[in-house]
Amino acid sequence: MSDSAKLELELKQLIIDTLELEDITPDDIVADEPLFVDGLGLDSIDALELGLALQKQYGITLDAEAEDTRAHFASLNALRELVEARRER
Amino acid sequence: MDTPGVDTPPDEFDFLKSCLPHMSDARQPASRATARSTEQDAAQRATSLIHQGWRQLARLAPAAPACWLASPGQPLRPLSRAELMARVDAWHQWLDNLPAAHAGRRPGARWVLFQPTTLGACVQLLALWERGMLAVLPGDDRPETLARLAESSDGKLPETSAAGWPPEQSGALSSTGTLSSTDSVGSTAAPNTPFEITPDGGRLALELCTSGSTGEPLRIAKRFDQLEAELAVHRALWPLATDASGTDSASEPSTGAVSLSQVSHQHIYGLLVSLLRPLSEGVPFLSEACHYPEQLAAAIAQLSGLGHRCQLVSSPAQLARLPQASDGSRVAGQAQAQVLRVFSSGAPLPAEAARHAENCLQAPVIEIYGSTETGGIAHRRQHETSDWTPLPEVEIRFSPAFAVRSPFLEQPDQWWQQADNAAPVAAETSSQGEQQAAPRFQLLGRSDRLVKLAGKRVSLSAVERCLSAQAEVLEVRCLPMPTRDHRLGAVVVMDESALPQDHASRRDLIARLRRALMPGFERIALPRYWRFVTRLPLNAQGKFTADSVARLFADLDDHRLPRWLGETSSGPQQLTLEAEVPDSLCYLEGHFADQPLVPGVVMLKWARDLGRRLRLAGVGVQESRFQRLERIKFSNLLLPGMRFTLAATLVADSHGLRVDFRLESRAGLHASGRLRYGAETDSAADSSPLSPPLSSPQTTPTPEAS
Repeated sequence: MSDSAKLELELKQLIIDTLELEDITPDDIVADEPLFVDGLGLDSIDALELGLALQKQYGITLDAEAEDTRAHFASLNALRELVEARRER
Repeated sequence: MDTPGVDTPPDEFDFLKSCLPHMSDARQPASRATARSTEQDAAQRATSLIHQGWRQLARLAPAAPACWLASPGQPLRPLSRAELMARVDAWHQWLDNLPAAHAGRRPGARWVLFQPTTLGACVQLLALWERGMLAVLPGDDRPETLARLAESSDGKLPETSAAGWPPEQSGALSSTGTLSSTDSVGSTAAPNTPFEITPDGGRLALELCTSGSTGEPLRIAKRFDQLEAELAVHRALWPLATDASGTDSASEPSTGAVSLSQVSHQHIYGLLVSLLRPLSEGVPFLSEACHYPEQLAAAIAQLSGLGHRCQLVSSPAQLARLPQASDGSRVAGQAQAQVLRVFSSGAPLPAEAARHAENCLQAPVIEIYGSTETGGIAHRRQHETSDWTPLPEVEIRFSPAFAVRSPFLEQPDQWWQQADNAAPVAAETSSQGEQQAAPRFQLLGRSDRLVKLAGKRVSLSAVERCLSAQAEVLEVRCLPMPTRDHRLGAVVVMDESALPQDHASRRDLIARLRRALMPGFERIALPRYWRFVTRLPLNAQGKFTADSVARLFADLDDHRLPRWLGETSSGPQQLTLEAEVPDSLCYLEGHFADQPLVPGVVMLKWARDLGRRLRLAGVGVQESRFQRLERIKFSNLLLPGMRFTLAATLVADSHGLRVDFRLESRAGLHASGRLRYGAETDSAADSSPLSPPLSSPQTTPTPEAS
């Protein structure tokens, strides 16, 4: 498994665990589908919680108000790219 | 414990001196004209619930049955009015034998009364009332509940024996007629009425605790005149004397009806309809509630055979659990028009359940709408209409908010605002062209169901209405999750055939339901946690309580648990659990690299946990006596997301006790076998090993089950 694929699986599990998505398994999360609109149907509280989890796990600090936060959370692929670019641990 | 009763009026002793000579007539509804006049009038009305009613009945026909005594595995046997009185007198004796300094001896004392049997509650209530004392009725006897009541009461009455005697009087002592501690006359002495009290109707009779689905239970006091007024309305609407000859049912033994109950007498509805109603009319009642359909069928069969007709006091939870078609014929066949009528209260009865119950019991099913504070408000029979008709004496108004005014209220002249929404049904005109007197109405759900989620107001009723409109949804409850801030859960009732059976179908269903909500609601109002059930898990009072919510969502916080979706029971020795395998179950990994599954040992653990909650003649298995597994078979893989049933039965055989279990799903059998326990030689049983525990099958699991 490539590093990228490993990170993808890790992130899927992070989303599921953090947001307690009880009916979702990693296989259910499609990497290029939107996380917040139709795909997983996440909401603003989920975004906050996910932000906290990213900070805890990878040391990434996001500005909750900034426009690009939305872009980072658009899909799992976008999230993976964010972590790869800005992770501190 | 010796706190002075704050509710005791200063002239508490006055009615002791003023033993009014007149008898009030138990059969006559109290004059309604006076009901709302002045409080003074109400206070002067004598109550028939005490001496002047039932003592009088007992004197007129001492041998007539007052009660049918149920014992496990045996036919019912009648207990006469004289025998019932002897028990009341024995409880007087018990009170008299308290130390002289005990605060519970004085008139006006407040006694906590929690009894598993109707008979036990009956004799204690009468004993307290005849002594001018007040009964405090908690809805349960959990230690926290009792601790909360202890400070404001003078004590808790001990549990009666199965036959209604005080503890020291059961067994040998009752036959000697004397008590060991004193030389006083015991229970079998000629019943002499210790206090000839004619209490005024304005006196407090009891205090009830509401079963509140959230927060602290409230305590609601009831005066005799409130109870009397409601009993009179019931008598007029739904007579119990079934013989048309006009025989005086008060003085003659009533050969007609017997009152059966499936609900607790610790709450207003059960107390009033299943206990005070038969008691005040001299109609015998069954000594304990029939918590299981089998008990009910047996009681109806026996009483029918003796020529009695039964009035059944039930609840939506119980009626929905009447056996389905195959077994149903058993209840119906034996009932054969022997059921006079069925009452249901506590929550609206789903239309399908109402139809099923009418078929099954061959009797009209009458629903009563009300609350602890208001008593009864309205009634309906869904066989005829889904509209509610206010009870006689009850006034209704719809604006500015749905409110009621009735002599059953603490303040009969004031409007009481109900927490429900209601809309009047367009008034029909009768054949005479007159307007119908009572404005019928429809209930539209509770009005107080706005919650704030992440700063946004969300109407739970609106979410529920939207979900209910989906084809597969029969009924739905939305609720803020107790342990997850800002998150909603949804409990969705569906037809069995539509239930999701695996991960994929569950996920599709949830996605469909969420999509239905998306156009009309903020994202935050979309439930995050979903539970799909065949019926709402209701408590014995028909309420969907915090306990049920906790069980439905327990797997969120304990990843060792299956996801609880309901359970059914045909008796204390049998339980069938409905559940799902949560995707977050902690045991799923580590068996096959690519296939998470539930290991066999986990299925055995679940079977063991279920088995521990079973009782056979009051006795359960002891873990220390576990011996071995027998006939264990693992057939199909049990995968995450699968819905399954786990059935367990406690069986006694020549080797001791065993728990037979089967874990099945739509895909077939997953596991089956037996857990063998050694013979029960020493006593794990309680003091009365013959009486099965009377707790409802839907109460929370016993501590040893965790």
